[in-house]
Amino acid sequence: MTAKTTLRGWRLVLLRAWLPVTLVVLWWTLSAGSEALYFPPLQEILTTLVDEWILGPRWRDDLLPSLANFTIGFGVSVLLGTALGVLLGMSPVVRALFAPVLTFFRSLPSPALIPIVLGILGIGAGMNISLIVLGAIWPILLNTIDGVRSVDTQLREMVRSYRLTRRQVITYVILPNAGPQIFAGYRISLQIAIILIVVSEMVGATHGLGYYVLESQQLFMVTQTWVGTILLGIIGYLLTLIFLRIERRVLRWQIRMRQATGAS
Amino acid sequence: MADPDAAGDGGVVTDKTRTKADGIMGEQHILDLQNVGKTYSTGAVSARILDGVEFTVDRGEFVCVVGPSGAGKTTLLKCIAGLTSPTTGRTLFEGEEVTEPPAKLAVIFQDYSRSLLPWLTVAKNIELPLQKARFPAKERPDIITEALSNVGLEGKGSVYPWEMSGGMQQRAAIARGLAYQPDVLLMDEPFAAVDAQTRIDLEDLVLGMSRRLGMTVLFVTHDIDEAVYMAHRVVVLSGTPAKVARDIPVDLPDERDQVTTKNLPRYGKLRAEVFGLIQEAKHAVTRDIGMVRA
Amino acid sequence: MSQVVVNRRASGTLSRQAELTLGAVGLIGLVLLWQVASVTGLVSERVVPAPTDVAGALGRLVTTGDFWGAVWATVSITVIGMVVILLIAVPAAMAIHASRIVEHSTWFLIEFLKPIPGVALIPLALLLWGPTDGVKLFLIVFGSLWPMLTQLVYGLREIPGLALEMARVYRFGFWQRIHRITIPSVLPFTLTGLRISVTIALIIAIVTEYIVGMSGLGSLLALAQLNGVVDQAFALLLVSGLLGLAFSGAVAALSGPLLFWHPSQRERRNA
Repeated sequence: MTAKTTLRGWRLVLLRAWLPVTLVVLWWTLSAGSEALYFPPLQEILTTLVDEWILGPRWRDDLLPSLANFTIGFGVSVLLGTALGVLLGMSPVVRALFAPVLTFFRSLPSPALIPIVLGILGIGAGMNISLIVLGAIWPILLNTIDGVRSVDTQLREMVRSYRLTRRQVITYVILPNAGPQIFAGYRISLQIAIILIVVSEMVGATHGLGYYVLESQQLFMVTQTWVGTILLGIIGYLLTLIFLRIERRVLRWQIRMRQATGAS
Repeated sequence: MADPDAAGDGGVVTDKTRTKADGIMGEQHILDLQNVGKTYSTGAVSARILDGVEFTVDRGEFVCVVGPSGAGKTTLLKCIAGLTSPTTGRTLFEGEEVTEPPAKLAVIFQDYSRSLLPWLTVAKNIELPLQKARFPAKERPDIITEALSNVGLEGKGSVYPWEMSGGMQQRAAIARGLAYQPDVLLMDEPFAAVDAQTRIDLEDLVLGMSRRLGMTVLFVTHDIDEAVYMAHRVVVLSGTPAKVARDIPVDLPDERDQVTTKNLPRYGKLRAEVFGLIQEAKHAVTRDIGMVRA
Repeated sequence: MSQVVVNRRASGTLSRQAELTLGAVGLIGLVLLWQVASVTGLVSERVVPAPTDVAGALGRLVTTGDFWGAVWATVSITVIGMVVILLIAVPAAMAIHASRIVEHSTWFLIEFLKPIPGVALIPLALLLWGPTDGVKLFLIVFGSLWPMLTQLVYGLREIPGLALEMARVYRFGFWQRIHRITIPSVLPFTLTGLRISVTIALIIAIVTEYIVGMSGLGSLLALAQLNGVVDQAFALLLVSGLLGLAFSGAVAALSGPLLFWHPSQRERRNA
């Protein structure tokens, strides 16, 4: 482990870059001037991407609404999931009452909700957001409950003997203690939320990135299908990157503690 | 707060203790255990841990409760701290029955790594229990600085607990207890998790501090040397369920020193007495078991 | 009832019996509430059918061969997907762990492919290869390979150094080391990976069936929606949830005998 991390600087960059760069270059040269129906030249794909999504109006008409719906859906899942998780985590009785329902929804493959949500809300942003929340809230809720329950007995006694207020206990003890586990829940939910925004736009929207890529396929617009897929990939990657940045920042103490003590 | 100058001049425990000890409450015991018994039961199985434990602690006293491992020392401490309630009898703190953790009582736990919050700096850890009513925000920095200097951690406020050694972490936990300005400090085997050298350092630190500030300390340990070395009085617990086997006044000079005190013949005698009591209880238990088997 | 609740343990948890009782009460209460809301017309029958109607629809579903065919299609493709994922992830993780060059060379590729939602590839894959079971399998594998791979690499990295040193001191052979140290250390991580992967695999399977109309639970859902039979959509939701439960239950059932030594399992037994 220690020997493995000694690689630094340009050697590391080079080692990490050669394969992706080679693949892109290969794709570019092999597909150049391609007449194959399903494999348009990479150059053409990228030109279309820039023309439609950056220079054209699509970033405003399709990309922004998609991102807005995603942000609202994931944001509501995070806030609601964490708050309810703390509540349920602190109350064994309420938790036990809801346990079977929670277990069911955690295991439920969320796309099974599509017909019902679509039936109730119809096509549109409301449906997209609701589907994300209904699918992505469970990992957050359950991880928060587990994290809240994991407060060590000695810590509980410390809290009681120093007579910390309820508010202090939640903000300074319970939430930070559960932090790593809560964020593990966010990470799973993020993945599910990204899947669900794409799915919900494919089946329940008249614009947006998911709608665009499925529409392109159904209209046999090969280049556009490639463009949409690549764009979805890039956006999924960027959203995850942003999330990991935030996680590192919030859980700074834990990362530094690990480095300092080698413990988890 | 009853007496306004206590926090103002930063005299952490001294002034209060003295004024109160000299005042009307002088004759009252600060801690009074009356027939404390505790039985844990889970389902059909029940275990009797404590049986009729009785002793008192006066203001400014340093009392050690000593007993073999598993004798119910921690359970007793929890009853006193209001973390659990006794099945029989009661504990009085400043004349009032303890039903929940009293405001003027602080506990130093055995495992510092689990009682300090790793996501807060040392200063924040100390500040957390300082409630608004008793500790106005603008006085807190001074209180924290003084508590840190009392345990020899000057300038370590901005450090995280896990960046310090075990001994320093336990000092930080003690500083938190001090800053809380309790009338009684309960310590539950506070040095069980540190190495021998650090243990000696911490013993002297707590000893010096308690004498200097005139603190009331109830110190629970399984270490006979530690108990005799530090205490004004040693309460020996023994038996299952545990009772007070004897309450021994430690008539050693108040100035203690690892070398001279431990070389006093009287120290050796006291040590032997406590040791004998504990061994006796152990043998009694073995005898009982032997009889049951036979 | 109150007697059960009062019987709390020291750490503020309930006894197993109390938990089960409360859970049953919660579940029954919820279904009753739902029934009452439906019967009194608080919620429209056309949007949310009564539990009794859903039960009726479920009863009609389970007597048809189509339904069981669809369930089998979804289950079998998910299971095959998991097998393929293991076949790919195990050697890949070992290569990444063994060689720094492989680790760094594939780093960006994996980090980039990992967060791409598997469902995003559905249109392109359909375009390239048409609606075949192979495409469904490809989508499942591509979409849910990453959690397993990540967990395996992580697990290999976390093999306790002390155990490896012990193996050297006692001169363990290669197979002994694999059998006694590597596999037991990596197993907990594998099961975590399996749990996450199987959840995502099921999602992708259902979405693919839903969009493409291939045989499976997803296409039944699409059909129910198209025909506007709401009670059937609810019945299918119930079935999907039970299927998800069955999968996570299967992973949990594996954990018991495989991880009997692990703290999480010991805790469970003692609880």
